[in-house]
Amino acid sequence: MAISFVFDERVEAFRAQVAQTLADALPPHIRSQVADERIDLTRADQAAWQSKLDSLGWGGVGLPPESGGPGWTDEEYFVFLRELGRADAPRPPLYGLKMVAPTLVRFGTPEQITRYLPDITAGRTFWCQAFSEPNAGSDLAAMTCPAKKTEDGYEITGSKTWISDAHHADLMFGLFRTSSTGRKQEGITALVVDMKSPGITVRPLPNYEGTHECNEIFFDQVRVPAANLIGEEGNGWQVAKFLLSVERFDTAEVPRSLATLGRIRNRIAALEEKSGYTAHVQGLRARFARLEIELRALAATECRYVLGTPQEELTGAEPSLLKWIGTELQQDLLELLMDAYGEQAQAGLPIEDAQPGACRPVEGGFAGRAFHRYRVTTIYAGSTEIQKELIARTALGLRT
Amino acid sequence: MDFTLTEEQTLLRDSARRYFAKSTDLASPRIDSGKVWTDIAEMGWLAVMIPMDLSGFGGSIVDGCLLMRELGRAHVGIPFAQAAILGARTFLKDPHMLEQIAEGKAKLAYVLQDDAADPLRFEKSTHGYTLRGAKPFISCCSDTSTIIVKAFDGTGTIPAVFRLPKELPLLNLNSYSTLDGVGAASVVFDALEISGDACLAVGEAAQDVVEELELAACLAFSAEAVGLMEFLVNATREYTETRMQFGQKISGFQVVRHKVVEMYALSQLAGSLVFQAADTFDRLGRTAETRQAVRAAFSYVGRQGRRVGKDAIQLHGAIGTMNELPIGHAFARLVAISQSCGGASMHEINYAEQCMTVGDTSRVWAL
Repeated sequence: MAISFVFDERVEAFRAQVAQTLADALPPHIRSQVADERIDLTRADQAAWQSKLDSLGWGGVGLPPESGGPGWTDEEYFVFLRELGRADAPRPPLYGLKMVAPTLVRFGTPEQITRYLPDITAGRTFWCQAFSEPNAGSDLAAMTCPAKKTEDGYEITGSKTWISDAHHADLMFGLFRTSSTGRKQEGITALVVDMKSPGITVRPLPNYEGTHECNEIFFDQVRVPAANLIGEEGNGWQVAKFLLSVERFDTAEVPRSLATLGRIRNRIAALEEKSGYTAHVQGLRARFARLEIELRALAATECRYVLGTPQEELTGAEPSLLKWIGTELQQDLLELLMDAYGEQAQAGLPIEDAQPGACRPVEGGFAGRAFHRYRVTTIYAGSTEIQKELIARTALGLRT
Repeated sequence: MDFTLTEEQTLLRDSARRYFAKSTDLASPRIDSGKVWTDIAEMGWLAVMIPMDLSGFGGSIVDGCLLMRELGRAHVGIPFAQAAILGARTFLKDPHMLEQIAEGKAKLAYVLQDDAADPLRFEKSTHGYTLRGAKPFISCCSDTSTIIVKAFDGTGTIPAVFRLPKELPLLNLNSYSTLDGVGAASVVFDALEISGDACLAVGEAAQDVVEELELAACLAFSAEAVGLMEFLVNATREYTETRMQFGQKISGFQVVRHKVVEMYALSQLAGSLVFQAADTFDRLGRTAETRQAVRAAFSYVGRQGRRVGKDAIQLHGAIGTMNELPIGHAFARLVAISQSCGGASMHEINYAEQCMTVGDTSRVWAL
């Protein structure tokens, strides 16, 4: 017990082994996409990487060992995520592995766990989550999409929106309204929906900068068997709260931001190499320094909260603070990366997407697109404004 | 990786917190610093970094920073860092002086910054040394006993560190007040003759001790700033819960709540960064990474401390600018800290100058 921002030798040895293994295992074409700050990897690439991790025994990171987890300590899991970021490896599948899997472990029946978990850890199935609706965003409990009780399960007719990755998901983890009496947090039920069910229509919602991540889903008399109920009917709000808070180690985006910081450093060094210590380079360096200092403060706070503080001394506001500060800083870093490339960042395309022989200044073209793509991070999974409200309530005891 | 305190540290922190809660009025703008000084000498805090074999507490820079943070939380302006943190290092080989420090009889002031255009000069004389030059601003209280200065030889390449008793004859010293209430003095060294034993270090040894003192001073004041920020967050939070406007507590307004949350977040981030830097200095000593960590911490608390202070006043409204409240005084101290040790913005510039050379050290600071 003493303030100490360092891991012991055993963890550092583990880190070295993880870093080496990742460097050997990561296919270059996947690495280069992540290094281009892309988060729209194809399903085939995501599946290939997850199954590779699974073959290394790392398919179930974050899960308890009896559910397919690697049996790591918190520090080892933390270090693994750091090194994934440094290696430019894709993050573990967010919806399936990091949200749905632990939720099934907590609320699912043994039958549901054996049915779904092995396919998640092996990268055979991909999940999406359907929570938001046109009139239920930050105010999630205002959701209305109904699941009507039938003889053998439920029938859904309605719609959900802002569903990331629905276009290549096999299964959906959704929240539906099974009762409209009582508080609005009551009467919500968590169901697993097969995306191949008759009556489901997925409509893409492309982003303004040209990528596609989100979708709208329409349900027309979609039938869901009773076996797909997660937890109890009507306690979906508790299930969802658990699902959204289960990830402790990756809310601040520090691993990806460390990698982005490295890209900015390399770019500034290249500019300096080419044209000397110009006023432009000096200005970029000053911005770089300030953001690296901000990232130091964030990373130290993340280490302190998730590894360095006993559970009973936490207020509960920590994930909110990390998510808010972490996503704002990530946006600032990508803005600097874009500026470090200048006008050519507007080309918008990574090198491999350019036509062969086409004369386009596309180096750094990813930077502009990433800047725009990550604009959403302070909105999804609880907007900055919602996080501040949560902090006001839990850490400071302030409320309306 | 651990952010918890040792049993001894918890005791130290808790006793400090209890002491200030009991014997000072945290709502009062100015605390009787003379009484606090006597009390903390009695409680042994001034010996926190004096080695155990010299009857000290044997603490590290982290322990020193923990107490600095408590002094900040109590917004009490006493030259604790200079005596207990810098003094314990400066006089490591001077048991008599360490005793004086522990007993509260030594109040020290440090002048480690150079005026590059016109630095303080020393030259050897028959009986010791002659000092020439001027220091227009030396942060020190009215009863400072000893001033420690850095000077260069005639070539401007060899540094030396001297101790000057304040009652030295011909020491042309003028005391004046400062905005943070700590006080300062100007000194003109008009061929001041000092004895040979006033020289504490010369050449490389002086360079080393000055750098160590500069790093320790930055950390100590950063920790004080963290405490001041925490004080302002708590005081502002409470104020928004009691102040009524438009028929409700002003904390009922989201714009006010979110401002308090931002102040809180900055104080948390600053606390992590400062203690991470203190731990780095403690473990790695004077390395390139330690220097960057300390520059990061000091520039961050300088910049964000000001922001927290400004917002504390903003949320209090006009009353926040009044002499009768501690809010403005705490802000003034935060600003003074941000201008000490060469200034927070200079530390950020130096950080930027070094960041490419030092390269990616994130495995040290982000693990």
